[in-house]
Amino acid sequence: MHYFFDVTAIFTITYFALLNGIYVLFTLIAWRSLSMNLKRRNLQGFEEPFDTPFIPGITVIVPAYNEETGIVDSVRSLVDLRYPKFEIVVVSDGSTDATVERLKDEYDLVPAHRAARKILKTKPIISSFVSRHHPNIWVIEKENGGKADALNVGIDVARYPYFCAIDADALIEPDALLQVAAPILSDPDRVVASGGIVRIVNGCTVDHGRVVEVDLPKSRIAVFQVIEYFRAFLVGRVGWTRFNSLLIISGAFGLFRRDLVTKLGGYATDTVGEDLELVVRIHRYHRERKLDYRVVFVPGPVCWTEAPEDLLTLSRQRRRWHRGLGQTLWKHRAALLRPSLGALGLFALPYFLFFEFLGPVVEVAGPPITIVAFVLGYLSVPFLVAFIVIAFLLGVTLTVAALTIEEFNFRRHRHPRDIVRLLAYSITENIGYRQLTDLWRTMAFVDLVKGKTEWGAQRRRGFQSRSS
Amino acid sequence: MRDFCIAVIVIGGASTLLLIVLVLRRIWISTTERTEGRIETRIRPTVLGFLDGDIPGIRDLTRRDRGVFDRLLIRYSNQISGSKLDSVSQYFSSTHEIDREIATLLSARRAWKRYLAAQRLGAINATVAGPALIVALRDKNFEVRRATVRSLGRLAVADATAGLISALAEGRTPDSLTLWALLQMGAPALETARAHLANGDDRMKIYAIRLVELLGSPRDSVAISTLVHDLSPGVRSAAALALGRLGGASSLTLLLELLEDEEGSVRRDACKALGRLRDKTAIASLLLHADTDEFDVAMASSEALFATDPSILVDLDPGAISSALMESRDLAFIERS
Repeated sequence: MHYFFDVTAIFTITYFALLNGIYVLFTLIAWRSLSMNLKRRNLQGFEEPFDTPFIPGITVIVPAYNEETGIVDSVRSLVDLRYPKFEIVVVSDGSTDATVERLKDEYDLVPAHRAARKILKTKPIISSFVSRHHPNIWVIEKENGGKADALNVGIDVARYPYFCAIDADALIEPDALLQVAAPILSDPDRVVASGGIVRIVNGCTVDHGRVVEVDLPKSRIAVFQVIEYFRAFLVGRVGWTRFNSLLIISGAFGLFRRDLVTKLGGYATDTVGEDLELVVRIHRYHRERKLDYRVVFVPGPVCWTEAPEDLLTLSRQRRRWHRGLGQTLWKHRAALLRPSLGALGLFALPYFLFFEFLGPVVEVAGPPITIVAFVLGYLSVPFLVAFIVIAFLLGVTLTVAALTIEEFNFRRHRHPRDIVRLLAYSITENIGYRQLTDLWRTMAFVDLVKGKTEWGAQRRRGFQSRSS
Repeated sequence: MRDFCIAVIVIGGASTLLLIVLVLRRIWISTTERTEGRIETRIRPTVLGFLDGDIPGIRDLTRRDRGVFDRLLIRYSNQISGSKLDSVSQYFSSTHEIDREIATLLSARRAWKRYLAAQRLGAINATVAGPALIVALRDKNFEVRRATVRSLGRLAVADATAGLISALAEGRTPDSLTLWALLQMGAPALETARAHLANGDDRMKIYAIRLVELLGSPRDSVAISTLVHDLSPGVRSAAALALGRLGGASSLTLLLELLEDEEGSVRRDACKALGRLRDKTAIASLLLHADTDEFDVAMASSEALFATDPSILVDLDPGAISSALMESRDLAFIERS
């Protein structure tokens, strides 16, 4: 028994040291990379020339399932995008609410046939519409087949060489498409995909599809997610980009080369983590063929999205994300620890397996094992206290570092009270919230074993408009 | 216990330090923003007056006012042209800002400094910085080269044409941005592009055709015509598109010939080009190609028909046409209604 607790202690310390070592490394990388943004800020407005006929067109694909509450605002934010050549394709994935009707009313849609390549296997298209006033807005109605299937339909009917996948509950800032496309415009031969930052819109004021005032959400659960998103995007994704091993380009806002994704078979319909799976496939495709390529994260362009404000919806979302991660790791298990795949096989995938996928199990198993060890007299109490204090302090420090990076570079939250609230929440998230999300993520293992495939119902509140 | 205390002190210290930095930064930024906002409101009329030729207005500015004045001037320079833009460069020349930026561009050790200098030289309309910017096209940092191309385009430095073309050929600068910069040069870029139509490198030939397409006149279609039989499909495609835009006596015949090219991409671009020409004699051939199984060719052909004569599409039998034609037909109906 003593041996078991000794091994557990060594494992825990090693695990803790490795995980936090990676976090610290990524924080330092992010700090350095993003400092360049700060230096460039004074010359905003002098970015990529806009009036070049050589700029490639982009098809913006919006998969929508029962999105009647936010779809009009979302599309409105897309109509205002500052990009010379783009079209918007909303794909209603068998919506049973008034998603299409809302769009018909708002954009004066009329029936029109939309030709499709029919390269990707998808559920059939039922009907299609084009806007009379905005000929670059198309709405496709299809049989329900899931988000990935809807995206594949969008890719199949896309006219431009790049496509940008955007969630139907997201708002895109006017310059976001131009900014997220900048790496591709700069280096079209190598950059095959890029993603922007996703921020939480809850609490913000929206006017005609634009976020006009940034505020923190009133809901505590949503504020915790604001902090999580800072860490995930401003630290995690910047760090992974540095190693050209960025595995997640958020489904809410990602730009891809259409011919490449078509060649790879489009989004996988057998996983709920289709965004992650596609990016892993893109990496594998290039690395297995020793091709020079880049998948990049751009911290400037912003996509605003609604975060769950109730525990039930949040738990469903986290379980789904974790399930998607598990399915992707299983699908690409052959790539794990393969030296020929470089940082992907030896660093990114092992990290996602051991720390992201199995991490919640370790964290959930920790307290009961500690209690048993204490009861049986195997626990060094001073050691335990020291460990908890250090873990807590380190967690808070890393979160404060992420907040500082945000504050230095973007400063979206203008009210000092927001910063104070964020700081307070970065301390309290370690007590309760974190354990809860770990528990949900652990429960995803049950879903995986059961072979659960559905997304689960989403509860949308809609955007907070200026008049409301 | 001692190790534990050290760890707690280090981590706690780092956290506290970050917190202090965060708070101080917020206070500093808020104060600066408020102050500079006030200055900006106060001196905006002076900036606008300066752009209208009222030089004396700037003499009373304090050092801090000058900083805000410079920033506003740079911001406005993105939206003005002609003599107003010239006055911006004269002002920055008189303050020796241009000399400082040139020195930074050529000798700063840190890439971000060179990048900012390259960018600012374009922003402040520093036409005298042309030679320095041409040198910077060979900077070891990609971002610096990108900023340099942007500024060269903004300043339309005619002497940079050869440098930009060679940067393109060697893949040192982004294609779309470099071609945009060359477009800003106008006539000098056109001359260089014409010379490169016979270049041995296919990539260069394609860039040259695209520039001639956008800058040239129908007379250039004669030179482009010789490239429609080039061995490279990319060159044939570019030539087709150029003929569509330039027009010229033999363009229609050549484009109809290219509709039978062995490469799908060439046939597609020949269809696009015919759509640009809008010559009704091409309708029969376009209808034929709009009914093929090749999606891109069929789509380009249908769109060309829509551009040439939408009424042709309206009369088609929806039960007997391709998906691509169907789309164009529906769009034609919508346009007519």
